Amino acid sequence: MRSFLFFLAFLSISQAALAKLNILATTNDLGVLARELGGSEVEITVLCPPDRDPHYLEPKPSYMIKASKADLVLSIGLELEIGWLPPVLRGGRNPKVMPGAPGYCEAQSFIQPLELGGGASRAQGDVHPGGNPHFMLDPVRDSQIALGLAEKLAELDPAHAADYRSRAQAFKKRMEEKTAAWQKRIKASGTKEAFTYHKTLVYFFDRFGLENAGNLEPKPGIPPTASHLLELMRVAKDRKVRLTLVEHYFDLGAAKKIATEVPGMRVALAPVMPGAPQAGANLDDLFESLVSQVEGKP
Amino acid sequence: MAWRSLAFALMASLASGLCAAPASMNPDISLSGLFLYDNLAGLGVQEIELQASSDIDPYLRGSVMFSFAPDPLTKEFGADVEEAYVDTLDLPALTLRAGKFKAALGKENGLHTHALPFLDAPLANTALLGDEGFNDVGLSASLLVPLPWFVEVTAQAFDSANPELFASPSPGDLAGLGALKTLLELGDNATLEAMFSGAGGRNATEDITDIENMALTYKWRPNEARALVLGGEWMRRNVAFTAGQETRRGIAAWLQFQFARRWWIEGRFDTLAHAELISPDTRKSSALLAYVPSEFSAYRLQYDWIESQVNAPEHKISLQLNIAMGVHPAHSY
Repeated sequence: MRSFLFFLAFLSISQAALAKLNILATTNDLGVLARELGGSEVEITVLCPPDRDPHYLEPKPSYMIKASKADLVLSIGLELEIGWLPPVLRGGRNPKVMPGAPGYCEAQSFIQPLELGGGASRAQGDVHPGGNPHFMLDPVRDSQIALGLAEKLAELDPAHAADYRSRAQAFKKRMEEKTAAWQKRIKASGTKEAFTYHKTLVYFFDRFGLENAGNLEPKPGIPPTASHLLELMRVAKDRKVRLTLVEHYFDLGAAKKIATEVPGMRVALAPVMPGAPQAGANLDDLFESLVSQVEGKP
Repeated sequence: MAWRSLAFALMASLASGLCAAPASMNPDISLSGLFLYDNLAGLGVQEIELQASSDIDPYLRGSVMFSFAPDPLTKEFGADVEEAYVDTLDLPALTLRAGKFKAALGKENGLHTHALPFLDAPLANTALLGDEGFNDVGLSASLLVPLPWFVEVTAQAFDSANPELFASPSPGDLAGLGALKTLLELGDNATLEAMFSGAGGRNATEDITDIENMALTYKWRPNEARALVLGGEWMRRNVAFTAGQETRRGIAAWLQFQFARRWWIEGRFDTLAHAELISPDTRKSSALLAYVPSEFSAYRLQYDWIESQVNAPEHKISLQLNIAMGVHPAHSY
C-alpha cells in the first residue's frame, strides 16, 4: 500500500513537472526575468554561462537536446546569438520553437534599440546593423520586455495568464522606483563619462545620463591596440575621464595600462550579466552593483 | 520620418504577435576565399566557396554551395556544385535531407575546406574517399534520440555511381551509410564527442566496398581566449574484387591549442597504410600557427613533413589566407 502511495506521489510530481512551461533562455538576464514572471509555473534553462561572452558561444550539441525539449526559446535577437543559436535550433529539431513559431521569441521585438541603422560594413568591426543588442542593461527596457514576455507566456499558458501579467506589472513598478533612486545616486556621484571595453553599456549610460567617452576596443570585436590606448589616454586627459568600466568577461590589462598613464583614473570590473562575479543573482542586484561601481563604492 | 516608420513597424510587429524581427527574404549568402602559398606549388587560390541558404517555406530549408578551384596542373578554374540540398524543418526529432551533400562519415568529411582544422584533410580522407571526400547525391534521415544527453542516429543512401568511391556499373544502385554521434559533457567547459559510422556499396566489379570510421574529439573551452582540442579519426576501407580484396586504413591525431584570443598552435600526426603491412605507406607530421584577427579572417602557417615508402621525404611550408564575406558564419563545434 505504502509503495503504491509513493508511486502515486511520484506520478503526480512528474505530471506537475511535465505541466510546467519549459523555457530555454539564451542569456541569464533573460533567464532571471522569465523566472520572475513565470514563478513556479515555468522551468528555466539558460544556455550561455554568465561568465561567457554571448557573442562567441559555440553551438554545443548538448544545447540541441535542451532546444528539443523547450516550449519557448527566448533570445535577445539583433544578431547577438547569430553565430550559434540557428544551428542549435535546427539541431534541436523542435518545430514548436523554430523562428516564426509561437514558441520562439526575441526580446528585441519589445523594445526600441539604440544605434539602429549604423554602418553595415565589417570595416566597422563586428557590428549589429539592427541596433545594439545589450538592451537588458536598461531597467526601463527590461520592464517593457517583462510586459511583452508576460503576453507571450499568457499565450502559451492561458491558465496562468493573470499571474504572468501581474508579476510583470510588479516588476515594472519596482524597476521604476529603483531606477529613480539609481539615477539620483549616479547624479550625486559626479561621474559624467567613462570608458568601457566594448559597447556593452550603451543603454545603461543612456538611461543614467552618462556619456561613453570611448571603448578600449578600437572597433567592436577587435582587441585593444597600443595606438588606440594612447588615443584614449589623450582623450582621458583632455576630457578628464576618470573611470574605465571593464565588462566582466574581458581582461583588465588594457584598462590598467591607461590607468598607469592617467592620474586619478579608476578601473572597475563591471558585471553585465546576473550570475557573473559581483553581479548578484538577479537584475536588481546587477544594476545595484553597476551603480555602486560608477559611485566607486563596490 | 524615419523614427515614425520605425515606431509603426515596431507597433505592427507587437500587434500581430510576432516575436522576431522581420528579416529580408533574400537567402543568407556568404563567400569564403582561401588563398595559398606553398614552397612546392607556389602562389595560388586554394578554393573559393559561395554558399546560399534560406528557408523555402514552413516545411523546408534549402542550402547550396558552389566551389571554384583551379586544376592543380593547368591552374585553370573549374566550378562545381559541392552541395545542394533541402532539409525538413517541421518534423519533431527528425531531419530528412535530399540532394547532393557530404556524407556523415566521421568528422573531417563533413567539413568544408575553409573549416578544416588544418589546411588540408587527413591523408585517409583524400586517399580513401577521393579529393572531394564522400559527397554524393542521396537521401538522409537523422534522428535526435530523446535521451538526456546528445545522441544522433543517421541513415543515408547515396547513388553509388561515383567513380572515386564505389563506381557501381548498375544505374540506380545505392550505397548505404549508418552513423551514430554522441556527446558527453565533462563539467561546464569540456566535452567528449564520439562518432561511429560505416558505409557500403557495390563497386565496379559488383563486389562490395565498405568503409568504417571512428572519430573522437575532446574539447575544453573555459573562455574566449583559451581552448584545447584533442582530435582523432580512424578510417578503414575494404574493396573486394573478384580475385581478392584491398584494405587500406588511415589514422590521424591532432591537438589544437588556443593560447591567446587571436592565436592558435596546432600539431597533427597522420598515417595511411595497407592494413597488411606493419610499416605505413605514408606518414605526415604537421605543425600549424594561426593568427585570427577577427571571426572573418585568419592567417595560417603550416609545416608538413611527409615520409613515404617510395619517395624521398618532403618538406612543405604553406601560408594560407582564409576570409569570409557576407552573412555571419555559424560558429563550429
